[in-house]
Amino acid sequence: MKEVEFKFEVPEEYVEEVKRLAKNILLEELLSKSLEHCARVELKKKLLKAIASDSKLTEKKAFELSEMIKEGVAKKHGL
Amino acid sequence: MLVVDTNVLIAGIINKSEVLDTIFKLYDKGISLFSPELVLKEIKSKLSVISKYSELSEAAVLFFVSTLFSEFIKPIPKEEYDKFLDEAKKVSPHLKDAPLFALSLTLDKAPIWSREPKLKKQKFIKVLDDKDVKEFFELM
Repeated sequence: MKEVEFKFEVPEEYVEEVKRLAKNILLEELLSKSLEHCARVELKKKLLKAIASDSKLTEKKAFELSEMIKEGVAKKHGL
Repeated sequence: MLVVDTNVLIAGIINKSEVLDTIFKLYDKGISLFSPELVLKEIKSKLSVISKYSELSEAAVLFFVSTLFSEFIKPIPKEEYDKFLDEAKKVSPHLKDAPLFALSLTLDKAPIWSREPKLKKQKFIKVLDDKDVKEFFELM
């Protein structure tokens, strides 16, 4: 694990509020969790794009498929 | 908020389709995307056909849709929009699209993102195609 430093710019009117919150919550933990979440989302985006890039699905077949799925969904709704 | 039609979700699996990028941009902008939960169930029941048409493995297709629905699109249970189904049937140009309209009505007439031009025949709920979505949410 490597340690990095972050600086935040906070609007003037929130300075006191942020100082107060910093005493009660672990900002480091919050930031670490946020970054972890962002990294996870970016990874998911890459994986989805990688899968799609191997796909041979055409516009025509995609339309057929979605109609097929819609019919099934409609049936499940009793339509 | 935006209700996503099945034809958009499936188009996301097309290679070099801009749909996936648009979904990601909407997510990054904090726009919430919704779809009936039964769509996910139905897609899961059609894995072999999707796999055949896309030449992707069933596992890849399953991962694709599961990830899409777990992170980028919120599946809504039928019970949550059921009460609007009758009204939706009157509005929707096709009966099969009524769940989509019912979901939109549940979400205060949230626009529907669809690649089916006929859905634009009605004027009660805003229907956006791929290009409209980019303009509407200023993704250009």
